[in-house]
This record gives sequence, structure tokens and C-alpha cells, in this order.
Amino acid sequence: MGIHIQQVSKRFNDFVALDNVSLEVPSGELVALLGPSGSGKTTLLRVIAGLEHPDSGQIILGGEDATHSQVQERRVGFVFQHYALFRHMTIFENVAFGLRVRPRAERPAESEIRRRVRELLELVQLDWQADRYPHQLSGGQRQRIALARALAIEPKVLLLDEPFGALDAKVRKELRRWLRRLHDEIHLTSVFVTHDQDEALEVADRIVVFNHGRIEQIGTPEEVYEKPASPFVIDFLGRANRFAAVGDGLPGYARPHEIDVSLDRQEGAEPATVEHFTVYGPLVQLVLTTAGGESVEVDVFREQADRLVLARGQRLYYRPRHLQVFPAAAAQPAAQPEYSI
Amino acid sequence: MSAVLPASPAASIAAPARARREPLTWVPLLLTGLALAYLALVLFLPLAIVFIEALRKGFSFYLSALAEPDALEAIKLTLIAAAISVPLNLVFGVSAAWAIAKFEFRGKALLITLIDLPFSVSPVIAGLIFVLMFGRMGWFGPWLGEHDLKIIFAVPGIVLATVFVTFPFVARELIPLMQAQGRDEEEAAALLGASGWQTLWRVTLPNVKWGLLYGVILTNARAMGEFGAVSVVSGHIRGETNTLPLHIEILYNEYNFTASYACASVLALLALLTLVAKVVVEARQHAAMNAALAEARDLGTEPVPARAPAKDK
Repeated sequence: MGIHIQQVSKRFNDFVALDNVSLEVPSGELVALLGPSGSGKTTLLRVIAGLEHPDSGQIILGGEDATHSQVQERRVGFVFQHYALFRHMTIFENVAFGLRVRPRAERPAESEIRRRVRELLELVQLDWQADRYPHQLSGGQRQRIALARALAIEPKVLLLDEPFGALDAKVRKELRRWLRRLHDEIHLTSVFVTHDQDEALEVADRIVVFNHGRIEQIGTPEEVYEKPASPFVIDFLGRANRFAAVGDGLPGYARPHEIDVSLDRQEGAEPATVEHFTVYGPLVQLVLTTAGGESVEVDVFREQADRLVLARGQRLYYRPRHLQVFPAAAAQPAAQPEYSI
Repeated sequence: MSAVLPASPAASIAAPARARREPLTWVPLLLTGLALAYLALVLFLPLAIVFIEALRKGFSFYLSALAEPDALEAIKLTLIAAAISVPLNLVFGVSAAWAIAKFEFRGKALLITLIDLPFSVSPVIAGLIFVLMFGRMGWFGPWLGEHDLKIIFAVPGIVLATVFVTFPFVARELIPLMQAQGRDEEEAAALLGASGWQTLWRVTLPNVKWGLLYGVILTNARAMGEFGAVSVVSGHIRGETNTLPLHIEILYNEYNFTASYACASVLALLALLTLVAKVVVEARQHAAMNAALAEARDLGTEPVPARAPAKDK
């Protein structure tokens, strides 16, 4: 079932968490809400779930206006960053919870509950852990149980709040691939919040980039990466170099792999010196210092780097192959983001 | 104990070795001896004397002192005061802790301060407050007189005073525990379709059960042992408004030492029972608190070593 968010705003005292946000999530899609912390993405997720109430705007779940409905009525599956498993219940009882709290008339029989829980535990490949307690499981296992518990109520939509945020890098990678495969199997409309661009690019069908309570861009991973709509997006998704005043007085942006370097001066190239360089497998990351004292990051292939015979302080020429210029409206000096890459 | 912290692991390994070689063993011995002697003087000796004095005239006298009608009435009244104030403060403590730990609202800091009030106010003052409110000359005195209701120098006053002095215990135990556990589990329960009641009974209360029990034990101990506040509102009417601590005082003032000690031994026994229960529950409660704090701290990124499942399930 699809999610329609219409002109939703939400303030916490003086802080504007959501500023007139509209978004449509088509049925069966996996959408990532991406942005720095405090950009409003988690608030939007909580508003969809009914854990927060918007000051204005509408939430429509599966064609029904859910703006004023209670959390309990919305039938959304929600996965928390820190799992929020019921610590005093076994894994089995955690997953069974959503079925057991149903009104007597709608509650499945005990045998049916057992069958359903088994099925879900098999789906998340943890059926052998049914009798253990949450604290006996690893972080990755706990999050899979949290997912099984959320799916037990047969939710209309699945919402995940930084689901891999508390896990270490390796488990995180495995789990997000697993989530993608799971989504391809069950096709449940899903929205997940992340501040990790790699996660969003790898897992999502579409990415919604948030900044200061507003949506900066909505698009497929390719679109937001290749055709960023604003300086904020190009900066937040991957690395980018900013070149001051290239035509019309507007700055231009180029990704590190969109810059050519050479030993001899080519047409339109500028001189720079090598500040330092790092080898990452087949790639070499160069940091150059321009005549104006600015830093430029350049990625080159290993073979090319070998031809350049790199050394610190060495003189080179660089030329952006492709510069992205944003129209004046989009190129408003974006407030300094509070993260670093 | 050495006052200087070892500067390096090497130093910390060397330190005990040196301590063993040098003839400094009398220092810890002396300190331990002092501490034990002090404990014996102010704790074990008085406790022993209570029981020795209680049994001075033989076991049958002991029993008859307790079976005396006024003593039985005092025990009954003490039990009534505890039986009313413990459940009341249990409900109050859970609601106050729930509100403070799980919600944001205006006046929260004030509520936390107010909960501590009975700790900071002298029990005598607490008793006087009720006399000033409900006594014959008090604010509600005339109205109560018209309707023939008696609060001061009667059982309701004793219950009120006991409730007042004991209301912080449950709330104080639960607030830090609930705060450490956060709101996630309650939110998860609501999202899974649980009503407020279901969430309270199935998630919130089971998570704090040891803290709750600990609070109840402390409340009960204080409710049965309270002297000051109850003394002010009781009026000391024998067989009617005397609780056990008040009864003990009266017997003592009448030079009826053995009977007084016999009643005191009941309270002392209760204190010992409370102590045992407290030790057992406290261990569980600390485990729950530490688990909540650890989870909040490291967010469970590391697999937790398997532990025997809690037997209380």
C-alpha cells in the first residue's frame, strides 16, 4: 500500500523539524530518507507511524486518511535503531506479541500463533533462537528479530529508523543486502531512514534527500548521484570539489573522478601541487593545492598514477572535465552541514 | 588501602607484592577491627539486647505480652496503616515514575522536587501539617466536626501520616530505572497494536518488577516503623490509635520494660526480614539497572555473551 504525505509540517518549540513536506511512496517500493542528523528524516518516519503528530498536513496510508488515527490502528511495522525488543520476553514471545495483544475476537488460536511465529523466525533465519532472550543475541540477530516482530502484524507498510546504525561495518553490509533481498521477496512498501549514503545508494529504489526539514531531491540512486539538484545534494552524496565563480559568478562542482590531471599543461588546465596521496586498491586519491591555496580532490586509476610518478610537492595540471553549475535559486549558500565526510 | 593510585600496570602488579613483604598488615587489621567493634556497639549489641530483654521473663511472658489486647490492637493498626499506604504509594509511585520517565511536560522538575519532600521534611512537621489541616482548630476542622468525621486522633490520620512519609520510596526507585530503559519498548508495543493497559501490564511493569518490589519493601518497612509523624496525629489512645512503635514507647514509659522489648522484638524481626528481602531484591534490581544502562551505552553492537536465562520468566 502506498504512502502519501501532503504538506506536512512539524515544529518542536523553535526547531522546525518538517517544513511543508510532500512525498509519495508508491506501493511496493523501498525508499530511503537520507540526510544529516536533525534534517527531519526521523521525524517524518515517526509522523507516518503515528508516534508524532504533525502540526499541519495529511498522512494517507493505502488510500485512507490516517492523519488523526492512533498508532495502534495504523498497522505499520516499525524497526527501531536500537531494536527495542522486549527484554523480559523470549524471542518467540517478542515476535508473538503483536498477535497476542489483539482483541479476543481477532486473536488467532495458540496453534496458529505458533505456526506464524515459526514461519517468521524461519524467514529471518533465526528459528533456532526462539527460546532465548534478546540480550543473548548479537546486534545483527536482534535487528532481524525486530524485523520479524514488525512483520508479524502483517503491516501495510514497513518503516525502519536507522536500522543498521548500531551495528558494526561488516554486519551492517550483510544485513542491508539481506534486507534488499527480503524486500524483493515480500514487496512490502518500505521506508527507511539513514544518514549513510552508501546504504541508501545500495539498498533503495528511490532516495529522498533531506536538509533542514525540507526535501532537497527525490530520485533513483543514479539520478541523485549523477544529477544532483542542489549543491547540498552533490556535497552530501559522495565527494565533490567546489570551484568558485566559473561563469555568471556561480560556483561549479566536479566529482573527484571528473577531473583530469597531467604533467604538462593542457588547454584550460590550471597548475597545482600534490599535497598528499593515498592508494585505495585500483584507485589513488590525490589532494592537490591550487595556486589560490584551495584543496582539490582527484581520483585517478593506479596505472595513470604510475605514469605521473607521484611525489609530495610535485607540480601538476588539473582540469575538470565536467562542471556542474546550479541555477542561482538552488545555489543559495547552503548552511554549513554539521557532518564531515 | 593505598592512597596513591598505581601509575602503570607494572606498578599495580608490583604493589601487592610489596605490601605482602612489608609488615603493614596491622593497618587493615586495625581498621577492620575498629569497624567491627563499632558495628557491634551500635548495631549487634542493641539488637541482641532487644531480644535478650524481650525474653528476660521467659518465653511464656513474651507471648503473653504480645497477646495482650492493646498490643494486638497496635499490631493490627500497624498492619492496617501499612496495608493501605503500600498499595496507595505503589499506584502513586508507578504513575509518577511513568509520567516523569516517559513524558515531557511542564512542571516536571517541580514534581520531582515534591516527591522528595517527605525525605526533607521532619516527620513531626509532617504530622503537624495534618493536625493543622484536619484538627479541630484546623482548616477543615469545623466542616469535619459538622459531619461527625474524625481524622486527627483517629485511624484516618494515622493512615494519612503514614502515606505521606512513605510516598517517595516506590517513585524514587522506579524513576532512574524507567529513564534508563527509555521509551522505545512502549512505542514498539503501541505500534504492534497494544493498548495503554496492555503496554503497562505486559511491557512496562515486567521491566521494572525488581525495582518495584524493592520500593515496596522499603515503603512497608518505613510504614510499619514510622514514629514521629504518626505520634503527632495519633493522640495515643490505647487500643485505638496506637501503632506498634507508639505502643512500645508507652510500655517503656510505664516501666514495663520486658513487654516493651517484646513488642520491639517484633519490629526488629520485621527489620531483619526486610533486610534479607532487600539484599535479594537489590541484587536483581541492580542487574536490571546495569543491563539497561549498558544497553543504552553501547547499543548492543557487540554480541552479548550467553547468560543463563532469567529464572523468573
